[in-house]
Amino acid sequence: MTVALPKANAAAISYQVLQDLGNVKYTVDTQSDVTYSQDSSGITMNTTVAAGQSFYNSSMTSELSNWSLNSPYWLKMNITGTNPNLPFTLTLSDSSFNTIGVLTGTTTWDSSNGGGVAGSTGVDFYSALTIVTGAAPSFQNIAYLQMGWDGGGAINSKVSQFAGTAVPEPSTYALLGMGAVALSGYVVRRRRRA
Amino acid sequence: MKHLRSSLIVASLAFALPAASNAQTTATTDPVGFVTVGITAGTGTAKKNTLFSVPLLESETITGQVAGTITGVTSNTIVNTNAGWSPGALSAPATPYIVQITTGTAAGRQFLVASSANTAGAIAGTANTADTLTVSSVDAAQVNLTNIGVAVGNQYKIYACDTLSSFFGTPATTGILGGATVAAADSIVVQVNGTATTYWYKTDAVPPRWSKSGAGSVDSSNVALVPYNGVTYSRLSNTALSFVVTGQVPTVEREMSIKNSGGTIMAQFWPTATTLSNLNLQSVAGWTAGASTAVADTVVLYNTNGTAGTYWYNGTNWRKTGAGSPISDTVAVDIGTAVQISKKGTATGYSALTQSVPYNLNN
Repeated sequence: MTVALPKANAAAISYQVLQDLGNVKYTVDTQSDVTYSQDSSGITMNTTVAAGQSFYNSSMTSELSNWSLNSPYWLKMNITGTNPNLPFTLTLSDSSFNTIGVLTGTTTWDSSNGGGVAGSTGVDFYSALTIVTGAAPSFQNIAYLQMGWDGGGAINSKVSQFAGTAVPEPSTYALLGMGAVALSGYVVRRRRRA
Repeated sequence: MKHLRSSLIVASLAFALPAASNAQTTATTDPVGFVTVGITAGTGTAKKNTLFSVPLLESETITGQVAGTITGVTSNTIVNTNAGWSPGALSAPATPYIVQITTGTAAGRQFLVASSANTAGAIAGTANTADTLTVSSVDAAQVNLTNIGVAVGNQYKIYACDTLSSFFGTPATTGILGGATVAAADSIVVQVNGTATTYWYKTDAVPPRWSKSGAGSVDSSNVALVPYNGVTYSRLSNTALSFVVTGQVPTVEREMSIKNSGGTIMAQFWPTATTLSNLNLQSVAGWTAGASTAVADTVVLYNTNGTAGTYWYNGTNWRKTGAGSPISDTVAVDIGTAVQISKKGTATGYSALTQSVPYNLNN
């Protein structure tokens, strides 16, 4: 089970990495038409991009299991130099290439939708994603994730994670509940000893 | 398909003028004509861009009333109890239609009719019945029909709508350059509600077809080329393309949605050249004027050499980026072209652009 980590500046929200975009778990299809490089921590595009250019995977190891996924969603990225505030779209498809979710965002930190680290130059931040189509449960069938630019411009960017809010499934809630009971018992015993 | 491939450059527009009248009655017919539109040549090794749109409207005989009076309307449906349409006939994925509102507050609005299935890139929704048609979800996401004033008693007209395959055809039929990869072929970017998607003619698909750049290179033959939006055509081949397009001349004003933030590729639409100022973008609610492109909304045009120019409105004039920021109000926007609009900010939703008919059909 992937552990949900608290996001900085978003105390009430925890997030889960839905798909790491490093080359360990996400293999970019070489027919992708945006200029990119990839390492274990993500995909870098230090280039001028045009609307319609995109990258997508030929294979990936999904990190989706044991969790139900709720919005908000984010794309973790890092911008260096001038941020042209470009819009982009994430298209999520199943193994038969059917589109099961479409989300849009910009290369800008949005504090209104869950927080994240502010998008200062060279600092990782979370760009809020808006769901255009798709229902959260079906996201578990993601086999392909495509990021396409919807505007053009020069950009130095690195995208590293597609992330969402983590909501434990009922079985996980049960485990958490058992843990809570055990913890309360431990506290009670300590109080009696005191 | 309503275009003919031609190696000739036909510079004129042919109108069939309204029919003659007499003292008692006046009979008119919709003016029809043809225009030639072009795609700039690439270099053979590098692509050059053309912002392109399909001019003229495509009249087509259908079962039932192709034009009529609206008897009911909801947020995304138009009803004509006298229509007599053939159920599903206006919703076939490979042969889409658009409906244009021709009178009333929303006159000039056009909507893609929803397809019955999402086959090959068609936009699925509820198929038409004998008296009701549903507008596509992408158009319904822009506006609520009742909110923009579509009302009982308004008139409408239905036109055929081209698709990637019906208009751009194949390498053999139109001269487009196909390839095994998007990098090796001409490519087309379609921007729908801000989302840009790239397509190309994939020659190693079985059978060869228009495909979407992305996992699986899915069949996209039925992606609609609506007359109110444009596309970016990136030509790799070192020969220009030209298309002779026939159809009906628009006779009513135009109204369309501009995305409040992000990109819209807007068709020039009219079968006559216009100017940047006369596009009337500066009057769109929320249009951001400013001292430079750093703060103002922008418009990109391409010249016939495939070179882009970026323009913005400073509150008084349209200006072009570059030395001296020259006033560009009268820069021509030609027939069959399109403009790439980029609106800044994060505002959601859409705002209406209205344009009057830029010619007089009564002379």
